[in-house]
Amino acid sequence: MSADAVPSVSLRNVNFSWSSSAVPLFRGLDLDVTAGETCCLIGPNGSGKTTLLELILGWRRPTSGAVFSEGRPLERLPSRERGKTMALVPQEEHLPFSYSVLEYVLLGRAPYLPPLASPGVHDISLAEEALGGVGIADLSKRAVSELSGGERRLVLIARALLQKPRILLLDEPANHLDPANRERIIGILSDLKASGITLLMSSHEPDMVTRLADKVVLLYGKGPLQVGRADEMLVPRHLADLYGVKARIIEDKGRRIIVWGE
Amino acid sequence: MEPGLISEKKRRAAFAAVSLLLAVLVFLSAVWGRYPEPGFTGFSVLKENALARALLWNIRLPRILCALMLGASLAAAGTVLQTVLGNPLVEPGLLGVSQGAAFGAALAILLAGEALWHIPIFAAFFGLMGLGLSWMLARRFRYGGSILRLVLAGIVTSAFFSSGIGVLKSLADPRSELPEITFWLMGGLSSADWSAVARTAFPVIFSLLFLCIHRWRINLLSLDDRSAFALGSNPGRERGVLVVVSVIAVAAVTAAAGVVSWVGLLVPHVSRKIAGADTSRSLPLSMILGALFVLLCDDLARSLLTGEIPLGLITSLFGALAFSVLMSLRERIPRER
Repeated sequence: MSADAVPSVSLRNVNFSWSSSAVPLFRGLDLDVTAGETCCLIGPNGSGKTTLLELILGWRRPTSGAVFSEGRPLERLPSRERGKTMALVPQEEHLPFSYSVLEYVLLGRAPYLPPLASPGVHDISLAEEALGGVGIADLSKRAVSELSGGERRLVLIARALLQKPRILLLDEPANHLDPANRERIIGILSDLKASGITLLMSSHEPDMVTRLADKVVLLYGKGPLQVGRADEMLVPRHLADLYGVKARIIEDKGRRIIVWGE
Repeated sequence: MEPGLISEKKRRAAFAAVSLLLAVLVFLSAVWGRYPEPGFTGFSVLKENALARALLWNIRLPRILCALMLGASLAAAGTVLQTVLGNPLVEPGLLGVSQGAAFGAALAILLAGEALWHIPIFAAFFGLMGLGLSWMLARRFRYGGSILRLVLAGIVTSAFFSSGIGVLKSLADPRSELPEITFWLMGGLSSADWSAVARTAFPVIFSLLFLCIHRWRINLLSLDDRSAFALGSNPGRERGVLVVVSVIAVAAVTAAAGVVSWVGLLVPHVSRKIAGADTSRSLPLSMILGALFVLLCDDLARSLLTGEIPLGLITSLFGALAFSVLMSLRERIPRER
């Protein structure tokens, strides 16, 4: 990578608080994520992982400071352009109506369709491809409301991938999943990482972080961040500071496993 | 095929069947009535009887057109509002529009007496004011999410206008004004003529066309705001535009026909049952089904008894019955919010 490459995501001196009287959640935040990098946000509950993802998405505006996507200030990015650049995989999504999986995933084509258009044959084949890409092509005619938690997560990933984003934001992608589904998601994410897409995810799964992350951001909540290479950040001292629980790290067949407690 | 989801082939067949049914019903409604004799008017009668021809052209035809616009508008607005507010229990009346329009009409009757042309203008104005008031209150409320706030504000606005209607009714002359207000509150198309068609057609055609060409994108707004935003939309602005356009159609038809309830709640549910949740299919079907339902109810309203039965009573009766049957059918219920 050339030295002057524009970072995928950068935050400059970002401050954020929920209201003018509240204690700021973020103060003077600086962060650069280079293109193709996988960056994991870890921290205890309430430390602002989801909020940081929302700031990067542009859904929330910083109280002061600036957020850039590929060098452009977020607020100057047109909605449609933003939808082609960045996609979000939320933890859960409320569904008032019973869409089929295909109808639901097709919404990922929205940034590419003119405002008055409906998806056509080409869009449908792209959506089927995206479903195939995460291994759930057989679910396309099922109702989303009937799916299991793991299947729903895969559907949300397929929809985000249909946006063909260069930056993918994931909010705790493996949360509440059984080991088989978690492995499946980790597999999909490492394929995406290999394809050169920039990944930013919040996670409570240190195992997932140790296997995927190039860069780790430690969020202590109501204070500064600590950013560094994954192997520098995931050390017992930092983890104990972060969660207030003692941690040991065991190496097994090249994998780093975190053991919590005494 | 998976249980519960309808195949593409069946959807198309249902669409064709409903369209055909509507065409047949329009034709039958034109020759159905109580003059010269109760029942269907034959071609030979039309050929010989000039009054029967005039009746068909000047009374039945504009009335049929008004019924079609009324049904299509209420059902389309119901589908759009339910989708963009992410709430299957919303109907146009819930945002203060119907009660506002009813208040406006009652006020017009009280102020202007028999001069009928005041009523639609007052109804449309106060209908839109009802929406504006709901919107303003929703912005001030500090409870719940944006959708809950809007629905709560709609309930408050509706209550405000209903009490206003109560006051107007108590002030009205019980012999002349009160019966007129009451009939208007129950809805009906007995006054529908070509001028009513002309007044209503422009806003209705504009709104329905607008909603129809945006029919796929409406889906995006059924997601929560953050997800819609992440998919490259501007949920606040797009939702606002769709709500206002829907309400324009509702205000226009309410001005012509009074308060006709249940159509905007029932028809979208039936339509989703047949066509699925995707608004690119369920919205057009909803318009056709709405037109069909209201036309059928109006045929009954004008022919069951020698006098006119208020249309709103018939739509409420059949709407409530059909809705309770629909809700008792086994269905996959989407997760609660």
